[in-house]
Amino acid sequence: MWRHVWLIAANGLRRSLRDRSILIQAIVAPILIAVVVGAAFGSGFSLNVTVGIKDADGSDISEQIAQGLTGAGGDGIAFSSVDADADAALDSGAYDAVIVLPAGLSDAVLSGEPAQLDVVGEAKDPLAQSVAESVAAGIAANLQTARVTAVAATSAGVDAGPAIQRAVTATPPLTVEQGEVTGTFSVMAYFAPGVAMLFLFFIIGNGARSIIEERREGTLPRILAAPVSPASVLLGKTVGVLIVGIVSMTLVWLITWLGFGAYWGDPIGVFLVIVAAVVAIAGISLLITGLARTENQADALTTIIALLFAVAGGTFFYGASGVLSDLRLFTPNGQALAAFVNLAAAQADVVEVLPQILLLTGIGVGCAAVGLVALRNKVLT
Amino acid sequence: MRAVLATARTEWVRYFRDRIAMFTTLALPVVLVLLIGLSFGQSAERLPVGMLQSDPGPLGTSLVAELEDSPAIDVQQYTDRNEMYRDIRMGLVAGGVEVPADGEPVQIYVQQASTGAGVVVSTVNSAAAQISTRATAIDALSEQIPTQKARAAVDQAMADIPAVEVATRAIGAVNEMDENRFASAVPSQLMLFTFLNGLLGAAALVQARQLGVFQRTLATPHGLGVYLSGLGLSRFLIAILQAVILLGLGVLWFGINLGDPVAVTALVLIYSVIAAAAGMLLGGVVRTPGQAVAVAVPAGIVMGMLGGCMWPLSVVGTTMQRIGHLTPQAWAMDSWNAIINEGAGIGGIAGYLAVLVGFAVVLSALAVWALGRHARTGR
Repeated sequence: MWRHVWLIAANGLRRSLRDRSILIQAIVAPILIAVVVGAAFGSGFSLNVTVGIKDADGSDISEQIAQGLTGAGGDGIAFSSVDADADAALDSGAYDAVIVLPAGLSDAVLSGEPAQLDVVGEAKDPLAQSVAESVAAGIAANLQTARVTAVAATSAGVDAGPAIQRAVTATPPLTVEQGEVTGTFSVMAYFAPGVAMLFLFFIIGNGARSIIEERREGTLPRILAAPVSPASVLLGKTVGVLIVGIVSMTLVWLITWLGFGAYWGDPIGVFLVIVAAVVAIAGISLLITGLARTENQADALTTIIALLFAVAGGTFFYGASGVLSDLRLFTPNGQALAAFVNLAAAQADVVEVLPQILLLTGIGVGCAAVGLVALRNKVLT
Repeated sequence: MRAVLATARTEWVRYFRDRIAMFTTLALPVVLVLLIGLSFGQSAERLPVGMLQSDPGPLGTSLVAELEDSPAIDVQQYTDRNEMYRDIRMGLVAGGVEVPADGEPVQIYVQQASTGAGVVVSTVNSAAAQISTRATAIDALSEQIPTQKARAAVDQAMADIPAVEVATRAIGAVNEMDENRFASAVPSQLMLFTFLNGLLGAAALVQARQLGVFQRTLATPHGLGVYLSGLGLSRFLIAILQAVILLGLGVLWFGINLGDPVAVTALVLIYSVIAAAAGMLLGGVVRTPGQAVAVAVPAGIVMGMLGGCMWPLSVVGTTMQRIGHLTPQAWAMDSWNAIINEGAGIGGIAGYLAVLVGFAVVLSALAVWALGRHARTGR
């Protein structure tokens, strides 16, 4: 029996190798799409906000604040002083938002009158505006600290000068340190497996449909006329599509990893997730083929389900929130992608992605069992 | 003319007899628009930042509350350090803040390549200043008077003096496409799918080629020209149907303000010709229906990505923008931006439309050449 299984599988493999569409879908398309995305977003996350400081007050206090800020800043945020008025500064494009220390600020602060800082941003860049707003809130809090200290000192009958000095130079009770997260993640390691799985549905679906095709063309009855059991035929076809799927996805992995430097994570884990994903996709394809009445119906159903799973599974969206982030876990593509992301970006080992491997394999085996029973009836009738 | 219409009608019926075509033409774009609209909020107003709390004391808890109220960052809580690191590596959060027990320094984690650290540091420092007014003032006074007395004086002062406020004002206006997520999803998915479906139409063409339909038209009194016109017309009308459905949905359901109807109509008409011609060209050069699908899907997706249908071209570098403008999608998306965001009329997008007309003419000519060659030589 095993010789028959292998012969039928090998025949399927030979036919796949001859078909140029399979080469395009299985290898070229996933790599091409991943490389395009990689080229578009290869530089990764970046943020640059320039906040202008406009000192319209001209007092010692406002000057101190402005100087203190322009010396601060850091990775992704820069402060610099503005001479023109805030609107003109924003129009010039040199600033993303401006903090204005209005005229009379220090007098108001010192006298305990209502005082305010102004932040001017652009409607089209709400992020920069929020950043400036947050910085201004910090300045306002420091000014408030100084004047609360001054008023409290006066009412308690102590010398306000040294107290204010102490208050403004005190380090906040919480200090901040900066650490680094090591290891990088390439968006290619997200899109390559995602797109590869989409096209696997087409390729494996084709392979599964070849059973119906052979019945239509009359080759299947001839095979069955030989001493070959229907089980061997079905098993041979299944082994054939599994090998095509595993080999093609493994090639996509190796080429994007070794050729384009997109690290997918722990190799053992990656390979097992690839196998589990292919098993799931093959199982679903066998189920569709088994339940469909005609070849055309199977073809249409496979395409529609493949596209729906891909869309809902997050194949085309990187890091979505909302409906999609919940929806994707209901698709095999989404589960496999979650496992790939954990391996590559969370540096998980194979044990941590075992739940997904088991789930995908379970889906595959379960669907395949039902599909193969249905197909067996088709083969026999 | 009657013959052209009859051909177009037949081809239209043949196209929609294919359930996949029906699905990708009518259902899939709508599903995608819905998902995109519901899954991605408005353009980023706050920087997503991860937070990990390791047993914070009272100060730390106040800091967490202050950061959650911060206008600059959108705090996302994590309980697992590895998950936070994963999302930092993926760029899904700009950085991470770990709030430890009081007395230990607050940790900020960023990735080496990332440049959001400055914003996170500023925000955390600012929040720290806001929660420490009372403590700092009491501390400053208790140098000279007993702490108890200092505390009473500070509390009294805080009750008496109004806080120093921050007033925010924004200049300019928000783009319609930034404000209404559907306003960017509808045109971009329309451009993506009109073209993709145009290409997928190639499969039916190859079938017709295999059946020898093109050669037979040479024997009819109408000739190949009439058949090709009818074929092109049916494909063109399918693209128009898709546009009517998606744009209608966008206007009636999602409340998109599409802008100048004349400009929109001109753009849709020209782009539909491009999609129809591209599909006919593909149908003229590939060998089997399977090959047509195998080329159409990746080509449609890649051109959509390059042309700014999957993400706006403004977020990629200049090289990728230049490469993108080799596709008709990019010029069409430029037109949509001008129409929807800037209120441009037909005059305002004339330059883009001219380029698109160029694409339409070249692709149509190539399609006629490829199919004509097939009809005469049988290849």
